[in-house]
Amino acid sequence: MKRIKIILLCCMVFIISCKKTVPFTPVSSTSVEFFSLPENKVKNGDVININLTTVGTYTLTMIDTVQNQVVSRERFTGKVGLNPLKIFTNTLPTKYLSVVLKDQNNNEIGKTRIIIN
Amino acid sequence: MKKLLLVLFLLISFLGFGQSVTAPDPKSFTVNTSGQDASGFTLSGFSATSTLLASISLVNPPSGTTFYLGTTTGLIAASGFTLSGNKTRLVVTGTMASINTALASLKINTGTIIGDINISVAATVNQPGFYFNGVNGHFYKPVTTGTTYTGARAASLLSTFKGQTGYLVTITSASENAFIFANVPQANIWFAATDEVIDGKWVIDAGPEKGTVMKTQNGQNAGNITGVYNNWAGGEPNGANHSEDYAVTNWNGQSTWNDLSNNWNNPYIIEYGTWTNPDDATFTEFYSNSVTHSNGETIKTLFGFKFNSSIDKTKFLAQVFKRTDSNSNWTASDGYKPLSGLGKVYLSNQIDTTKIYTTGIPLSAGTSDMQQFSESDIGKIYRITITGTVGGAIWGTDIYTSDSYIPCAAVHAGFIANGETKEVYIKVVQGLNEYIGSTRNGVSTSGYGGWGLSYQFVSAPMSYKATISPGGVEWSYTNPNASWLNGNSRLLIDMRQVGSIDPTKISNVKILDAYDGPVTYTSHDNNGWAIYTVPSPLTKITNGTSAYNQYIRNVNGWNTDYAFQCGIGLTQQGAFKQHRMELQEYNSTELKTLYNSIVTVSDVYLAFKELANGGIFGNQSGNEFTYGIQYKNADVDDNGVFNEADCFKLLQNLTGVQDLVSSYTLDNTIRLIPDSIYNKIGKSTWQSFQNFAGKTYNFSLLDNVITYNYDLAVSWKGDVNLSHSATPPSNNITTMSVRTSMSSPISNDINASIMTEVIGDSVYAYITIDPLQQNVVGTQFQLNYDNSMLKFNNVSFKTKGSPMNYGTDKGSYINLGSLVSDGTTSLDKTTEYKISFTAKSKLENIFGLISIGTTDAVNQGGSQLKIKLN
Repeated sequence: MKRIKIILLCCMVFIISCKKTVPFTPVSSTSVEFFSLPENKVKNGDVININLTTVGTYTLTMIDTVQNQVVSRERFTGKVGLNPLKIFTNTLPTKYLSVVLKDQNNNEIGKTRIIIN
Repeated sequence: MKKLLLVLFLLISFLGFGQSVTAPDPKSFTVNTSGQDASGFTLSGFSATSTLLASISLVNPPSGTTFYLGTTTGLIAASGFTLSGNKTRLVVTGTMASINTALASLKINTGTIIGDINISVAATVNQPGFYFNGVNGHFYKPVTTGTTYTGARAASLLSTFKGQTGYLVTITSASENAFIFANVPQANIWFAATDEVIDGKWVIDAGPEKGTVMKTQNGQNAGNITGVYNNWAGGEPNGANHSEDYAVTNWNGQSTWNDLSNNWNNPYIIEYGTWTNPDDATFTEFYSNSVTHSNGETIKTLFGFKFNSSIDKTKFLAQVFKRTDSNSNWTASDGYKPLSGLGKVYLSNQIDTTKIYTTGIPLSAGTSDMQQFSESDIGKIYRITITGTVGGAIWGTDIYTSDSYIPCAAVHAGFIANGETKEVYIKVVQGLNEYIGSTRNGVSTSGYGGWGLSYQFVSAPMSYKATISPGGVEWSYTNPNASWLNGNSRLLIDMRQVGSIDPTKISNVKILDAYDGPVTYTSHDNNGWAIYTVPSPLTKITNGTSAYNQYIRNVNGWNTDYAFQCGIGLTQQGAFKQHRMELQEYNSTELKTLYNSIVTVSDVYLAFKELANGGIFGNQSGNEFTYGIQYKNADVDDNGVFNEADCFKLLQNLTGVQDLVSSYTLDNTIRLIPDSIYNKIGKSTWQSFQNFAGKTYNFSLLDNVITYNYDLAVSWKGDVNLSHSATPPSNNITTMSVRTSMSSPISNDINASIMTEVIGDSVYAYITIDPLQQNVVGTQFQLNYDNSMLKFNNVSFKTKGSPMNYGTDKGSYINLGSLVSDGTTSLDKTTEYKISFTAKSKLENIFGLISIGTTDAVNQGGSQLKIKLN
């Protein structure tokens, strides 16, 4: 019985070790910080995670990188740690945008590019 | 002075002003013949020392048609091409001089297929660091500075080359792989292939093929998709450590591929495409021109649409429709053809040259002109019995203005003699840009500018043309230019030769090389001789200069009686069918979005300002509008008067009370106006020009004319400031041909800002403006929102003074802004619009749920302003 248990244990270890690593996915992840990547592919309703060190009012701004125009901006209250926020893309006029995070003093604390899928 | 000229010359040479490609006039080639001269293209204005990249192309040539260059000295063929041999496209590099020398030696080889031969030549300065691949028409820019794959992918998207946005290179064929290997010496070059989503499932990651699956398993050949190019090194890709998700080519200096992790800093290549048709204008700084010759005699019709630069021309298509005079239904040809990036489309193959035979529609006796008809009658043929006269007002030659006096025009056209009574046939045709005056048959006509409708005389139904050709028995005879014929000649035809044809049905003759045109039947005798009056002195016969003199017998030596040793052939005469060109519509949604960006607050304000300056009784002062077409566009009720009713309709459209058009179709919105007429619509004459509303343009074919170029300016109903319309070259100046970009009026900026937030179940958007130094009197914002998640409530306005504020729900966006229509006050930086929504379900945040679409603003002077959203 002990030998069977050892075999089963070894099998389990083997199976777990052979399990495919989850590929890197920059969106819909609950752990990847949005601004840690230079570029993110997103689709409507995806959750982005924003890591904040202080509580406060923040703004997220979307900028059309071709026209260099702001197309959308949201003010939200952030908490310390990962803040999961939804991103909506159905009304956006372009696929290529940059996203800028600023604190309440208008200091830029994060920037990345997004491509709408 | 000399120094100044020298400096100017050097400056112009350095800057390369005025680069252009000149094209030759169209010509007809002989079918199935090699080595025919096709020279006439010339490059000019490029720096003499610059290396140019130039393309010579046959665009959709008839089968069997090729070209070659007799001289290629100093040229280097681009990758994928060879200098020698027959071809349909060649891309070379060389100096302007060497390319011009080669173009002067351009030869065409034709096949047996008759059709258009479109030759396009394009040139641009060959920019160092970029490589052109002639096989796929793409440009490549190697970047030697190492970076990660994701960094390379993102940086590529921010790169542009001559107006094209780049992307990380894709490798989709062996030839492309070989091209990269041959031109880029670095090893381990990132290209756009990844399995980052599913390990082992490799997909193309950029460009037009993005998302195409290349293979489904790791391993050199495992899971390779048939038909998709793969070129992996042995044992690769292996997905080592489950982190090698990105592909490199030139792996270890070889031409094969490997997969690497994103930790590597590698060089990469940016790809730009596609340059295949030189006329497609997808690249900027390319200078091109084209000519459409024909293989054999074929009709060529080129439509050139002069759109505003802000309109994407390639979203439009065009097709020819045709109809007979007796059938009011238009018949489509073989489908819509896309416009090129230059707004051009050849519709030559859609022309029906079959003539029609008709009895004509009777006109009331005494009808003196064709003014009672309209564009809807174009193509119809009418008949009327008239008596020719030499007195009356006429404008034009062969094609006459609709108000020209018919009995007199018929004499001028040679269809009837002065004092003769007979039935004539009149076809209603499109108005012309210009009518030419002339003197014929004792009648003088006047020239005139643009006119909306015309008519022309056509042959009698079921009529015949008699052709007198050299060789045969003397079956015809003439009395040329006898004194009793008043400058005309008399022709006799022995009808026993031509069979049982009613001699009154012969309406045209061709007499060797001496005459080709209409004749008037006079009489015939019992022996079978029919007599006709020829409106020509036939001087080639009387002075002996005809090439067929040996077949002409001077009967009595008096130069008044000649017999033709010739045969006679009869061919049936008819009239060309009527044709019209039609643009294909945007779909209604796209057109609505476009149209709402065309007719905006700056148009409304400018219309009010012009109206105000015109005074209570004035239609136009001309103080605010520069061009007559602006009045046409501002006259939105199309009643020929620009007044307060038009301004009110524009205002209703802006504020959402009532749309300017009943439905969003091209027929309701677009205006296609012949270019030369467009340029002539003056501020004081605009009412005399017809309304050119709609997406169609009628045109007529003429005998002995094979080349038709129709240049149509494109304007839009309600586009008062011409922000999206072709710009006339200059007010009341008709000879200028250079257009300016319509973006030029937008030269000033004001600032605006948007903020959104969710508070409980409510969602708010705030738009504020900062007019800077501008006296802003009108603003307009298209605020997009997702109507599946938000319900619009209202807009509240915080504005200085008492402007007209508006905020209308258009379903998926809110159209909002302010207008001080009399310009007496202006908006300041306290202006704020607060737009309120209710969330349809619980929302924690709304990032991207509301966004700004198009914007517009106008200042007190009526100038359109660009809003900079910060």
